[in-house]
Amino acid sequence: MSLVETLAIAMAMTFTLVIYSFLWRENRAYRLAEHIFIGSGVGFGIMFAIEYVYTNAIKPMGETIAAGLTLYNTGYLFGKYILPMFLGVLLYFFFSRRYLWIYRIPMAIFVGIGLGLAMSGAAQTQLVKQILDTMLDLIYPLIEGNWIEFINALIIFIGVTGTLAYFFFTTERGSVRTWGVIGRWTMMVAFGAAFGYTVMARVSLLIGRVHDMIVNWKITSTLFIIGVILAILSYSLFKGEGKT
Amino acid sequence: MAAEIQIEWSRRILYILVFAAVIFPLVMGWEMSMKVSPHTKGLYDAIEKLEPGDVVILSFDYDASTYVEQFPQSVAIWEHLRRKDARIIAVAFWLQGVPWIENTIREVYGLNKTEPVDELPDYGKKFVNIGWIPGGEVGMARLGENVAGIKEQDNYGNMLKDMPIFEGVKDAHDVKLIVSFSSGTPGAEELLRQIGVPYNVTMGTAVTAVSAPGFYPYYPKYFVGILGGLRGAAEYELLVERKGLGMAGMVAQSFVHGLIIIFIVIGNIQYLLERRRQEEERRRESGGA
Repeated sequence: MSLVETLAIAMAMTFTLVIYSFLWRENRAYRLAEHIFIGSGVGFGIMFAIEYVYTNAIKPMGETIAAGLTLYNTGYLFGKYILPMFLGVLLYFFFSRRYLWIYRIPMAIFVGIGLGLAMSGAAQTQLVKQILDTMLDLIYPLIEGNWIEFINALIIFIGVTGTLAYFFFTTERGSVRTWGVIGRWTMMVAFGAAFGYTVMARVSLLIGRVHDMIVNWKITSTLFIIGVILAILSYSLFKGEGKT
Repeated sequence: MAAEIQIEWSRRILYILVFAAVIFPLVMGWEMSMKVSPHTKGLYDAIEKLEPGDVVILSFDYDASTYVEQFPQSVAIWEHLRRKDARIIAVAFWLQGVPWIENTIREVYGLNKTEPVDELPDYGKKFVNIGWIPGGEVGMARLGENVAGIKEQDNYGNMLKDMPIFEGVKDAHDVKLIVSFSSGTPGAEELLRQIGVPYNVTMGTAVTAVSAPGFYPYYPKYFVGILGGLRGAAEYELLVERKGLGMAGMVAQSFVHGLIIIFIVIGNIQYLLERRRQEEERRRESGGA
């Protein structure tokens, strides 16, 4: 392993432990790591965006101009590069109070295109087909005589309609409200499952960091860093820094 | 004040126990047997059905914050596709997904950090790293319309039109499978409505555990398979017989889950005891009055 790679791993491990030190109490080391993380993320994004604009817009635009400007070329240049870049530049008027309205023009175009694209697909996949399948899954197994599938579909059907009834606020009592109780229980089960998965995801992140520490680094080095962090924390504790 | 200090220290002790429950099984290197869920098997079977030369789009829509769950998923799926001799087109609709395409290739092909990816003999023939496609959902719609012409150059500056991997590939109708490694927006749902449904392309997804319950209604009609978190990665590693972080982390995962269940039980017992104590106090006070 090269010196640069070793240094990179050491930095990664140190930052991991420094970030986890927040669980003990907030401290300056944690805040420093947090700022470095955000800063490097933004820096990476800006670097990539500039490179992208150069490779996919400025460079080919220069090549097109160098090849000679015909009527077709000029239209192509304007439609493919100049207009989108111009709209992009208008977004920077967000920072001007006086000319904020200019920023709204490209924003309206982007939101309009995005919404138009998303709406047709979303209505199809996330609404119409989901409703249809909730009903059809109940009917087909019944025709086929597949009772296990039918019971499964029935539970889903009861859960879906119950949840919808729970959010039906126009009646205060009656069968809709009673049906809504089933919906409340269904939601509780769903939230429980989601909570379980969330715990799993968070623990996975910790597992990944610990695994990296063990694989990439000798455990003794890890313990050494833990010792250093604890020493810094103890110092900050005695100095009365940070409040939990 | 004493109660506050007690809560503060109880919290710290819980974290220390969780940390110990993670580190101990990983240091010991324990392994456990597990069953493969139908969601994981569905994606595996879809890839098994592919013919050599079939085109597959892998969309890396995650960043470093979820790499622990999604990097092992990406490696296991890419490895499976490589064995099936599929043509892999890797894209990222997340800017920070691009390094994870490269990391996955390095892991699968055993490259170190300095060896160039685009000098591999299979590069441009069996796989390509197109890199970042901006515009989110708009970019996805464009990819569906023109897979080969979505960009002029790949992530390393090579011209896409010169690559044999795009032979016979025009739009998404020529793609056999799309797998989205998705941890947010834009991700699998957006790809489904921009490419999956309009072009009738088979889709699978590998998501974080947090978002997995939200994707299950799409199984199996819209997503033939769903890998949920590290568990999904471990199951896929088991299927392709390639041990990685997924399988390594399962014992630690189970240890922590067991610990959390114990915490919940203790917390509930403590709550019930406290409630009973308060009721008794109230009864005594009202009796005394």
